[in-house]
Amino acid sequence: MANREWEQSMMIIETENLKKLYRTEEVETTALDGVNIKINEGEFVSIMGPSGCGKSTLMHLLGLIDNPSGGVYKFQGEDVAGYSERQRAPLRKANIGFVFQSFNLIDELTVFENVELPMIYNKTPASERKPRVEAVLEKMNMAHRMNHFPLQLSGGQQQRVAVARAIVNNPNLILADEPTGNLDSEHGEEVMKILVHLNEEGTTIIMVTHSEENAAYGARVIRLLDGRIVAENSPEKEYA
Amino acid sequence: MFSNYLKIILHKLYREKLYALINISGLAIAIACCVILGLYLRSELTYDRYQVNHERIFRLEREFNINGKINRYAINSTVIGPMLKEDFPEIVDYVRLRPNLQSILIRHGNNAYYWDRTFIADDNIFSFFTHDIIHGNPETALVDPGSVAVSETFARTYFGDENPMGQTISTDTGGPRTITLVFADQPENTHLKYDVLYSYNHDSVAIPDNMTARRENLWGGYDFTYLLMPEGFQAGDFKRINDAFYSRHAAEQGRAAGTSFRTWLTPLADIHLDSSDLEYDVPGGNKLYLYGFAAVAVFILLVACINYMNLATARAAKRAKEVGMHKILGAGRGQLIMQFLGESLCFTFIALLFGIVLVEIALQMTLVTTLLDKPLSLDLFREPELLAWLAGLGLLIGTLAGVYPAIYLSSMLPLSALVGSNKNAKANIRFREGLVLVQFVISVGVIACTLLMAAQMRYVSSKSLGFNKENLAMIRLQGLELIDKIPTMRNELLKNNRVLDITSAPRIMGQGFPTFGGQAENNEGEMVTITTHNSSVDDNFIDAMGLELIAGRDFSKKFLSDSGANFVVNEAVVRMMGWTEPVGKRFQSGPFTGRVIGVVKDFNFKSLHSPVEPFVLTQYVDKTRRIPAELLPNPTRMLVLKIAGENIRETLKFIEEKFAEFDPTHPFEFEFLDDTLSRLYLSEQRLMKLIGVFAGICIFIACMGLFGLAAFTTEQRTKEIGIRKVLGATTAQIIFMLSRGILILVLIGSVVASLMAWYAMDEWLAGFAYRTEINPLVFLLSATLAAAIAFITLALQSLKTARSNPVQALRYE
Repeated sequence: MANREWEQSMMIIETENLKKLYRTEEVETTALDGVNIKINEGEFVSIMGPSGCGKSTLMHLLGLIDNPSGGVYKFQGEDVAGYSERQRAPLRKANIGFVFQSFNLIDELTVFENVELPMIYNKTPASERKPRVEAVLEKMNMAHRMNHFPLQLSGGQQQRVAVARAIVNNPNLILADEPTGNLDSEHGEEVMKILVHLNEEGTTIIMVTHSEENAAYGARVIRLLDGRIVAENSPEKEYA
Repeated sequence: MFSNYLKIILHKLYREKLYALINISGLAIAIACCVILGLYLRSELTYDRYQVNHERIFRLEREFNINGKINRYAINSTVIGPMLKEDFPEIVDYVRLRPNLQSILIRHGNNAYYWDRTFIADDNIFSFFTHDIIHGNPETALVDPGSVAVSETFARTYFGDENPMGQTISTDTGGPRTITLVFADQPENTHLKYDVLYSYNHDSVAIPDNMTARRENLWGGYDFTYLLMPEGFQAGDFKRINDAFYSRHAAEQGRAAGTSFRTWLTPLADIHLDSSDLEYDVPGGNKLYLYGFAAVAVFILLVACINYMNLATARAAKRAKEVGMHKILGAGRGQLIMQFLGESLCFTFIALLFGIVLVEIALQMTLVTTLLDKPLSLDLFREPELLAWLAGLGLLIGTLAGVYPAIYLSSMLPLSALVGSNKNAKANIRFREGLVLVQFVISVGVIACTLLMAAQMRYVSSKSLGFNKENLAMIRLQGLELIDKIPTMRNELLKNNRVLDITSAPRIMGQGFPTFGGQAENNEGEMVTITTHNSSVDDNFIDAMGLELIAGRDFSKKFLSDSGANFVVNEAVVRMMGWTEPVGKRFQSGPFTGRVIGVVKDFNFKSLHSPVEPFVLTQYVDKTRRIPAELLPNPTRMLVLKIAGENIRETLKFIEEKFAEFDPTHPFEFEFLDDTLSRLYLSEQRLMKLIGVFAGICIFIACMGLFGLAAFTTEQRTKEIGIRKVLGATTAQIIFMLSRGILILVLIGSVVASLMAWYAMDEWLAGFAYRTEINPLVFLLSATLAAAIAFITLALQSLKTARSNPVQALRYE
């Protein structure tokens, strides 16, 4: 009993038979078809699979950006599958940080302002925001570019800003969708090291990737094909 | 946070210049139009409210009922004010102003100028009405019969910066008058404007002591009479006073003559707009036109706001990513709505600044003030409360334009940031199409209204009026001496063979003829009371003016009995009396008694707003002239010269030279009859021009929006255009493809607009007794015009893409 309670509290994500259908006027496409995943706090999980296998859809569902068409999704023990956008937004704001392949920085704002934005939306007092933004940018080794605009930075630098933005509110979970997809290998590795470092500090990380090499940074790899999980194991085992 | 939004907005303004230009210029033009029309409406709606006692001052107005025919007048009897005050102690005070019906020449030394706004006024006028007195004692200024009070403009005209107090001025007839007071020019929005006020304290206009004479006097009169009533007195309360007064002083006489009158009060501040259709009134405003102007202001604003809404929502796909990203980062919907509203407010306030500059520029141009017939000014330093109004206008427009885009854009789900899909896109496009439809309904509607008004104006100027109005030059003869010289002048002027004919009358068509009470014999041989318009004309008047005699005969010098005894009537008199045999009927009108000798075909001596009313012509005879000197201190008569159509300039020069020989004291001034007549439609002309200008502005703003929208769709469809071109589509096909949707909207809009314009113009035309039929082709023309302008706009925009190398279009992705 005690063991189960501990397991429950450790579980950050649990899905049961998670489904996502896309309907257009003529066709219905199944993007996810009964996915069961359990992810504990502090894990680093990589999701892999060919284009169109449902990786991004799964990320959107796990990140509370989209609603499943069926199945159960428990986030920190709370069944959120039926939540509306209005209910999902505060959960997302409090718990999840996002890193995207295309960085998605706001071009009109400086590096500092981009990183500050989630804290403003989280109603953090201005006095607390400045030191925290500075600390996070320091950590990402971007403090010297604080007043630059995104378009003045290299891809790797932009992604480091995006990561800084994702972690500035101290989320429990970081969802990274192909974080190195637009980067060269040197910058890619840099970003992966940052993610590993964050994971070591206790942040749960779920990462979608095409690259076996990057997937190997994670402790566990989930492989998707046509909306189903076809394999789930640790990379060490796989390569062993 | 706010600074972040501001930064994003400014950056967008800088980066998306076309978008910013279209929105800001459209809004700025619309705001400028609104502010100008707003200033105009403010002035029209606040007439006379600057008067301290405006809530207690009323104008006494009156109608006569003569055998069921109602005539309403703005003027009243000389004695009614004083008699009312004597009989009813609740009437606190009265003031009378008697207008000089024509402009008079006023001299000082060698300076002589004509003045239109001159009155004889009671000496309490300066305590009764609010004035800024520059020189003089308002209590005593007009007590002396030889005194005169003048406006600042008047004083400046003759005396420059010198103090004019104690100086004398004179007219042709009156003796010299001493200036005893100078008042600051009245505000522009007062219904009764004057430059010269003569003292009323003359024996010739004194109230008779004898009650019978007073009661006799009640039935005539030329005075504007204003009453000061106690606090809280309502216009409706006056009925009791009128009834008591009438039965005491006038009922008996009225019964004997088969006529009656009734008086009522109109509050001072309502005279300008509410007191309409009164004879002898000063020109007032037209409420209907004010509604029209207000509607136009709202329309233009709407068109500009729609541009903003359309362009903002069209860019939704572009902004989906930004919105989604903000949401993923934790922005709430409320925060995003505020951001987008802030954006539209920012646009609006920038536009407001440009709009104010435009207003200042426009108000400097005489064209605008002429069009509005009102000097307007936007002086934010002198009237800081206008700033609050402008800020309010900015808030209103910003919210109106921004609220839909804000709600729409903020509704996008965070997922759209990542996949760029937008479920509402289709509904959004429909909504945008609806908005474009509204713009074209407005544009086509105002174009159609302008064209229909122009058609009526053409009708008015080309309709046969029952008399000849071409090449008739009119000269006003002033003073009895000159009027007596008419036969000699005639002989002299006719020596020039380009002067074809000469006649004279006290007034000419379009100048307003006095009405007289009189009596006429009915078919049963009894005399009944009637009122008609009168004119005492030269014996050749009917011929010279081209009136058509349809029964009986013209005046003739051969018949001495014609002089001051016989009448030529128009068909309206025959209809009114139901005569089967008009010639020979006994007739009495004003000072003349005699018989009807002829009937002329109806002619429009008033504007075409009103049907032809009964009119009688009498022959002009010196001896019967009874012009009381105090009523017309400067007797005048119109000399009408029918001249040949060629070499008009030379003919006029000849007339001027001859005229100077007869009258060396007055400057030569003439007017052509058709100009006088076209002035009767000044307010309609003005309305038409104004609506025309705004129609232009409306369609210009709408097309700017269309241009922006087209730029956007073309950009979105660049790839599709490239593929189509590769597959063999011609430039024309692509332009047609891109503009087809909008053209369909223009056509639907035209149908709706036509119906609305039809209804509105039918109402407007109902104000004319003679009106053109509404030609459906006008709607076709408006629709074609709007569609053509829209098509050119769209084609200009899409031509570049449609003509470009398809590879460039494909590379876009």
